[in-house]
Amino acid sequence: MAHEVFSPEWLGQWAALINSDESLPERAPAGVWRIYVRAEGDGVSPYVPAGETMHLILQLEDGRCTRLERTAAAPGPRELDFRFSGPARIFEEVTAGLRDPVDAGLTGEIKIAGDMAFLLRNAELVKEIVDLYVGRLETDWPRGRPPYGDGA
Amino acid sequence: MAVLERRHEEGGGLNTEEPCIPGYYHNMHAQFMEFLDYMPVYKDFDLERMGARWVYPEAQCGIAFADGRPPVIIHRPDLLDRTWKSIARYSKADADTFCELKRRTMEIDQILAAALYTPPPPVPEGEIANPLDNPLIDPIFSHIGLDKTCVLKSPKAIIDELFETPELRALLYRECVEWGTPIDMEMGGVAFVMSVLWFSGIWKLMVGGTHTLAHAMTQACLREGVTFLESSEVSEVVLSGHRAVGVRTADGRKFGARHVVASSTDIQQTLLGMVGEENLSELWRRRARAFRYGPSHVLATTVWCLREAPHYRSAEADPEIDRCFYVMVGFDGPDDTIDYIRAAYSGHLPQHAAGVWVNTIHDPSQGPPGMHSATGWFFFPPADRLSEQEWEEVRRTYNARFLETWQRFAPNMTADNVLAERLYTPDQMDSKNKMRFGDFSNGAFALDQLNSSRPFPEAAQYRTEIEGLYLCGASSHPGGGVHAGCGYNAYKAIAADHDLPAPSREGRIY
Repeated sequence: MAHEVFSPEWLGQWAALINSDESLPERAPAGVWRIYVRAEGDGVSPYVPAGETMHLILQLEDGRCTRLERTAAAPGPRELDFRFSGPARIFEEVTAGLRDPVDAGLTGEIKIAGDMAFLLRNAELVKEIVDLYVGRLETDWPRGRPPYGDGA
Repeated sequence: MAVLERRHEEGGGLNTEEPCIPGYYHNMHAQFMEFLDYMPVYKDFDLERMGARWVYPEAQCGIAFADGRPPVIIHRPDLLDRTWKSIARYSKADADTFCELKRRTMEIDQILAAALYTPPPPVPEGEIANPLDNPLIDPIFSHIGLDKTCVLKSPKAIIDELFETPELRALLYRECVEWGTPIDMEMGGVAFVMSVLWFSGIWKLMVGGTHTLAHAMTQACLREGVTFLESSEVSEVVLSGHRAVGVRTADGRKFGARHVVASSTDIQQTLLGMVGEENLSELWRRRARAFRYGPSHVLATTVWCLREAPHYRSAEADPEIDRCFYVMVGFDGPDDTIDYIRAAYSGHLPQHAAGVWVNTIHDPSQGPPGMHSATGWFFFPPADRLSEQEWEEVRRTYNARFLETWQRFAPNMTADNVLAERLYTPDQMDSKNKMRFGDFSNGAFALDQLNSSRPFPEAAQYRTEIEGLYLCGASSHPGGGVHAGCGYNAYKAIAADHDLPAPSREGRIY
């Protein structure tokens, strides 16, 4: 069943998809890894109003997703391992499969902070987790689906 | 798909010849291959099945001294302990700094490669590309542990700040310019990371000469159904209205293009020559005319047929210098290196010094049994700074003067050891390979001609204002060198415009 993009139900479905991959814990790095996504309202996205920020935390523990939720504020830098930040529109275009997330990172549309060597060592895994939500997560776009037109 | 090649064979600067004596092979332009592990074409088209082979010398890049001081040698990244030992003869602090920077750089080499194999971020119309907006600056500098103020500095200033050993500085200045990075370019921090930290120690040698790589690429194209037309100089891009619909050759043949025309020649030749100024907008005409070449990538190749490989005075302290892939000869310290580079940049012939390769040490197939083929690079002024007669004089006399220098550093480099020699100068590179003025990057590396501004902002996404005409040569990002990045990025643009599959990303992030 499709849920509204970035809604708690949508996030829950994504977490379930990650955890449905039984081979992930074998391939994932051991330990707890916290990833923070910061999507800025850019005046184009209908889901993150202009001037507002969506904070999203994804926590992986030995390859299992143990937390995936929106939070009211950004976590402190010591509470996270990676930070992905950028305009909400870009994250929505990635979700809709219109934009390659790696290209978005390489061209600076999404800014990445964290241990880059670790990210590279686990590039295939990161790609797989992203692909899960780009390719298999059913998403409802009640306020319009990207691309958004001239403003985008 | 058809490739129209002006010369009698493909390969451009990947040309290996027997210019002096049959059986002695010399690379007339490109020497070392630093991108084999990264270039998508190499793996995607399985070039090793097409005959490409390489060796990876352990001692990669060194500097010898006439007074027998120990050489400084950078080894492969998997042999960092040897690099440490070599630098530590002069300074343990420098050895620690260099090796730690190198180790951390190699941890993120895929990100550095991605910077080459990804089209630069587009600049919104009416805005100016800001080199500090490079999205990779933060992750790269944070990971390597380099002070971010280095982003603003020239490579020379960074080298001087990081390292106290004059001998190491002398080596790194030259290492920096091997790929064409201007040593004094402000905001050169990223270029320093690329040219000094990443490229040092990752040079491979093509077995049989660099031309074998071009052969393998040609074979792969033939396998994929590409047609090659040699001795076919394109003189005109044929237009229908404002759309490229084909090309015409200098001998009058016309070839239609149903989908695209992609030009690997330099930007002025493509736009001002083949398209024609009358078919360009005022802005594009002005931009193309203003594009600059050299002076930081202009080389002369010196080639030598030898009875013996050079035996350096510095080998008494470390015999590895005699087996080092690339050896700097003629520089006693950092002032010599920097004076040499700046002389070439400013239009003067520099002192008689070089970086030399003796490929037969690592690949005996490049010379007769027991004999040696040596090749070197002089950095020289652009071709137009000397007259035809002056270049002729340089070709006649410069090698002999260099040999005098070489002998001071390696006493066995006597006239008796030399069977033949030749010098291949920038004016010849221009006429033979269309490297404008001898500039192997077909365009200066300057802040207004790099990344999102290369060759100029409106053309930096590999598209032109002529519909169906794309740029896939070294005037585009990431510039010259045997990386096949310009073509790879151009294909991404073509694929996006024509609903073709994106390149495979198997095993890489770009």
